Amino acid sequence: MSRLSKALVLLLVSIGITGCAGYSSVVNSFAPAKQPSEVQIAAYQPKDTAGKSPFCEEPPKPLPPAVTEVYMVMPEEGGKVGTVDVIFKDGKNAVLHGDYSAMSLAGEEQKPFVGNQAQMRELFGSAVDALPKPPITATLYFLLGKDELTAESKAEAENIYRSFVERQAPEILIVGHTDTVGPAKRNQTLSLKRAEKVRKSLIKLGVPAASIQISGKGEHELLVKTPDNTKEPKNRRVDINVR
Amino acid sequence: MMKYIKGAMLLVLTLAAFSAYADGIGKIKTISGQVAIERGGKIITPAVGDSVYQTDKIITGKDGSVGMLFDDDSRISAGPNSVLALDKFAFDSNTNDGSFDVSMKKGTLSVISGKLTQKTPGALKVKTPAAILAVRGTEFSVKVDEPEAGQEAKP
Repeated sequence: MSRLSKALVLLLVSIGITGCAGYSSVVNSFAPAKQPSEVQIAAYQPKDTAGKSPFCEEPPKPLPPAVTEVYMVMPEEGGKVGTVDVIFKDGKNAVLHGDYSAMSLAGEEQKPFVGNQAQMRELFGSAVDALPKPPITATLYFLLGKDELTAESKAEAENIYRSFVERQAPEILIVGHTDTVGPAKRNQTLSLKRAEKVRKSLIKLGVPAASIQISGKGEHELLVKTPDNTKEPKNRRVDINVR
Repeated sequence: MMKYIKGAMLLVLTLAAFSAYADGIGKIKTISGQVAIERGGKIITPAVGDSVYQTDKIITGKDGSVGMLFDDDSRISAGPNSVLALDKFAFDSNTNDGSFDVSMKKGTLSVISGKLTQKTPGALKVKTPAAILAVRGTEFSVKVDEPEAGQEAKP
């Protein structure tokens, strides 16, 4: 006997023996293994007719109010823990703290629960997918007195640039800097030349020129504070910010 | 002649300064389906890369979604059938002080807070019909059902 017909027999027998309640419990046992979430239960109960047999007259029960709002803290990367304070209009408040920490609101009832990835997708999936990528910041270093990248930065540059090219509607800010070797005026020019160098590389890779802004700060914004005329590789740099 | 050129230059500079002042508070980075913005009584159909402004009302259709990146690096997105208003955005990029208030009539919203809440936990607030959510950090989502749908379920 197939599994389905076994189940049907069981169903009929169970209706015979226990009536409506048994029917609905068997029907429920057909449900997929995945347990419906609390949110689903609360949200969809009023519309649920699956458990009712047309032969069973059930006294009309007052329906619980539907879920009108759900809040959920999303999982965070890098060991960070998310926290949201919820202050209701009636003065009650709650704190949601930690991954998937959540609360649903049905009528006056505020129900805290801990969700999971599947629930998060079901409830908020399309909003989550629409989130823009975070801004990127990168720093490339230059050889003393030149607008030429250090060997190390040269090796990194390609990968960094490539991550920019994938961006939709990018806004790129390139800021050149120098160390304090040489006259300040010459360093001003050099810092701009360094920024310009990065700009050209990006345009070559297909980044729209209109999305790039460059500037040079000369020796005015040192990363490592030094006296004048001091060689400092960390100060010979270009900071790139991509949004 | 020189006077005129100087005058024209001054005008250009003034305009440039003014437009910088009137700059948006963030930019639209993702759009799919139907998305509209209500701004100053007018309905605008935005494109990726467009600025958004304080008091903009963002509306998405039944297959629409939109994602925005704000000046403090906060990111906010809305799923289908959503209505949200960018009530207030104040951000000092030197000190990271300020506040960001968003209100949500219906739909789904995801938030990843930025420098404002890094500096002042709770500086980003989402107002729903029932509550105010103060974000201390950093990622969370909200779903608000339409009031009609809520009433329908009542006996």
